[in-house]
Amino acid sequence: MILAIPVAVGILGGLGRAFSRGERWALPEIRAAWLVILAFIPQWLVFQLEATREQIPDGVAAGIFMVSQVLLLIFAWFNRREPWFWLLGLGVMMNFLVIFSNGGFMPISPETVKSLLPQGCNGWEVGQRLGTGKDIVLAASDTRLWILSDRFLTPDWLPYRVAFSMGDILIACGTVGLLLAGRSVSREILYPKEGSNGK
Amino acid sequence: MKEIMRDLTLMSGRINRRYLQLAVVIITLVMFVIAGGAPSDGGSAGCPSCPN
Repeated sequence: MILAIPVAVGILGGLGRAFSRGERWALPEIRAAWLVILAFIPQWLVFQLEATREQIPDGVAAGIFMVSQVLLLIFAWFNRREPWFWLLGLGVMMNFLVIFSNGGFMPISPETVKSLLPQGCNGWEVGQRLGTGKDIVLAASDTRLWILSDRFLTPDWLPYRVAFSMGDILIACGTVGLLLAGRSVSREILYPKEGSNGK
Repeated sequence: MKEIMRDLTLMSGRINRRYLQLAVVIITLVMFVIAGGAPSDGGSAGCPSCPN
């Protein structure tokens, strides 16, 4: 859920920016939002919902994961003319490439897993999926496109440790940028018929 | 009075539409970020002693 932070930062920043300029905060109208719903729900069943995630075989989970990423790429393409969507799309593309190249899951090195999990947590194996999440534990030498894998870690002084990828960084930056920039909306656009409607 | 009521209705409709549009974009963005991102906190590693 670390990716909820850029959303919160973007919303607060966007609201603050609009307020300081005396404008109303608005966001671009997005197209084909149903693609995101179509991508999100299967992932939620596969990776989040306890009742279902244990039941779904790894092969099926990998397939669903990759298809849902393709749907997100199509969504980003549909909205490519909106500001910052190119960065969101690029982030998903990077994640998709490394996931696709490594059998359908995001690779994470054993060293990163050791840093991520407290000592004594041995519920993982090299070459296997990390629990019921999106990652697969692979040695860096066995990882294709290692540079795009979950190789970054939040600082160890933070109580919540998370491994993330270059694609995740771009998605986070794109989200903050999109929400922060917003869309300048004049009163004439918000209230287009004021003074002319029904008169 | 009729005029005021009409204006209020019109305005509330526009405001609601604006907030609805904001909510749709934000919810879509949240879903996009969750589905498109692949960070791991190890919480799904199946270790009961993990505080994550």
